[in-house]
Amino acid sequence: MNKELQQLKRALQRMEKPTLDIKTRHRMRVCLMKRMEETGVKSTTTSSLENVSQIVKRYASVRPSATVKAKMKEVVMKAIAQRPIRLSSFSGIARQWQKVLATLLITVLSFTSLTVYFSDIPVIRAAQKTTFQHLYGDVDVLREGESIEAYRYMTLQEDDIIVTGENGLAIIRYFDDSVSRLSPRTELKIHRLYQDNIGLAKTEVEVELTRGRMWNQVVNLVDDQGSFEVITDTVKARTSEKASFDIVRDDVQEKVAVAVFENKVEVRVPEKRKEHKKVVVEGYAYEVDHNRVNEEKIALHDEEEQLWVTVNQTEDKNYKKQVEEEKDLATKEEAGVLPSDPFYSAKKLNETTKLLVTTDTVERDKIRVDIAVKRLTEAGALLSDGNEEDAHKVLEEFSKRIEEVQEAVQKSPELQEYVYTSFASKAKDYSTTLPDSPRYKAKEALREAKLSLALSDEEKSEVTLKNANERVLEARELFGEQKQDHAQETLLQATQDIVKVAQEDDNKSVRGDEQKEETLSTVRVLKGAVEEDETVTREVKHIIDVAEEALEEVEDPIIESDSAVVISIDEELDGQTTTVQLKEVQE
Amino acid sequence: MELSDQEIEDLVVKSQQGDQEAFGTLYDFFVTPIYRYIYYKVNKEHVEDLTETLFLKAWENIRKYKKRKNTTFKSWLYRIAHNLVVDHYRLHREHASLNPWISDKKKQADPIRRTQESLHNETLREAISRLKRNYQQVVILKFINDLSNKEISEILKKSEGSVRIMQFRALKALKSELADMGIKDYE
Repeated sequence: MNKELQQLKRALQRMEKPTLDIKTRHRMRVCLMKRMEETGVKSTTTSSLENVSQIVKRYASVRPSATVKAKMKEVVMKAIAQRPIRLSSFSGIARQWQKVLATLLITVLSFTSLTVYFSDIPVIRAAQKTTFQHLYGDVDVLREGESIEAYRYMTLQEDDIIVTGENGLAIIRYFDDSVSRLSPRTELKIHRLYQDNIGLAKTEVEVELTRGRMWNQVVNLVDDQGSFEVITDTVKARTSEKASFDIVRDDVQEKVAVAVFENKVEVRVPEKRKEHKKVVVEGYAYEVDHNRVNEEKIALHDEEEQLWVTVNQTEDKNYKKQVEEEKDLATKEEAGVLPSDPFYSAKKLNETTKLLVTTDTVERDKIRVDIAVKRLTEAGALLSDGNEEDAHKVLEEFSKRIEEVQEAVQKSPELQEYVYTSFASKAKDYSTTLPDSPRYKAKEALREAKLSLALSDEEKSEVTLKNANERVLEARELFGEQKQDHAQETLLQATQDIVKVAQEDDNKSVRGDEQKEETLSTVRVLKGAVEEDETVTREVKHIIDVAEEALEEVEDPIIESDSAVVISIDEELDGQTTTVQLKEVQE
Repeated sequence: MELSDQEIEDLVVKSQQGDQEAFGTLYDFFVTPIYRYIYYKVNKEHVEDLTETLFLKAWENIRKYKKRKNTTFKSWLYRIAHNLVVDHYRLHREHASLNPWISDKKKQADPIRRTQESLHNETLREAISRLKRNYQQVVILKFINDLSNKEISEILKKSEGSVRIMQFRALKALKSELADMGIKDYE
């Protein structure tokens, strides 16, 4: 290190540093000790369950008088007579809904593999409607002033109000494949269930939580085409991509809390004439209480909360697998006749004929796009069946068809829109497909196609970052499933793309900056998730650091000299391929 | 007050068993460096409160602490401090380590350039406050809190190699900031 830096170092070390005077130290110590007393001393030997049992014993010593007991019995028997329990396995009504919830959720969880929810869903995906997937206990729907007893697979519509009773539990599956799980004593109004007729990927779901609690899992929104929003009187929670979040509206204490358990959610709080916007990331909760806002790390206060979260997180995983299986089946249905089938040549002949008889240039190009998309669907079906050879041929044809329309797309806004809409719809078919799935190659081919059709270098960078963003989300899921190798490979690919884009200074558009922020946010969510995870290797954490630094616009990302990981970028210079390695800065 | 590493770990074990006095001793030992760390990161009016909150969080979570190869109680404590400060930034949208006595850049920049020829404490603090957050972090931990590279790597969850490189870049950046302020003599 040169002389000046050495001098600077010494100056820093000589710098006058703040110290606490004895009086302040003592005052702070007294304050701390007092706060420690208030939180209570916790012994190592006492687990949280034992703490709970101690609390239960304490409350168990409270006994109602005979008069109170008699009065309560009258009220309870009257309630039983007016509303019989639906599930015959239940004996008696639990007065505390928490016990009911716990029992119900544990019962649900005890079904393994395909859950009770989905065991008899038709093979072809019928998720175009919004329905009740499952119901327990008292659940009603208020529609046009009338109260209807809810039933399984009942179709829901806009303006319906769903009310769960003290022992009620409802699971709603929306037409966009999102789900909401309503706890007892919850009231939810459906405001909007919108799907664009032309761009099927463009969807909007908006519901209002009047009281109670609901867990929301969004799995199938892609490319910022759709939105899922839960509103209350004080808060709006919205997402345009995969996410899981819990929202509670406590109408007694008049507060709302949004806790994010996967990815991130945008929360808006209107205040006077303006609206505060905040992106709440995984692991954090945002609370609004009488116009005061508070954001902090998620803390589960009691067993009931822990149970709610654990069960919902487990169901989230099951649901994703189920949706992926449904999509797989739907892809096979949609693909229809495959290359190995005898009528495949007839199918292709039909396509060629359509092209020949269409005279309009733009319409013909649209047909080419349709044919390309069909090839992609066939590839998905073939890959799913393990037929890699035919899948490869079909993917080649897909790429070829895309190449054919490349020039035309540059010139025709109508065709651009058509391609964009077609690709967005197709992307939804693969939104839950992870790198360890056989169908993943088709997803990658679609990404490549989007990139090849980008209209400018700026758009190319934006698409690259979007793809990288998706890969980081995929890596996050894979880490969650302990699939470290696939996760690392996916993350490495994402980081290579991020570093490449970061080094190209031309990406100065507003959209490019937005996408950079979005991707940085996703990288940070991943970083937060794996930080304390000892099963995640040092190399992986280093790759995440590199991605983060590249997006933060650090000059050169730091590469460890002893790391097995090397990030290389292939650059084409004058027709030759050169590998550029990012080197460690020398002191 | 001096405590060896073993003495610290013994006090931690006692604290994990509920011994508040043992935790009090740990507090006495660590309060000054932690206070110092937080002091440079947030506005002055929040420093004491955050320091207290940190120790309270440490007390509440002390059973989760486990001595490992890359984690000592010290680095665990600093890690909590780091997270607390990050959360504080998110809530209060503070940027850089602004202490009220560090005067506004716009007001002071010219006077500093005109009148000052050598390096004073206030100037150094001003320059540190202008650094990027991760560079500030390294400068504060290394040169103000006197932590070793190993300890810093445990806190920041980066390798020692990365920490050394960050120090180098942080010093270069600091030198550049001081040059902008007209300071070239560091003695």
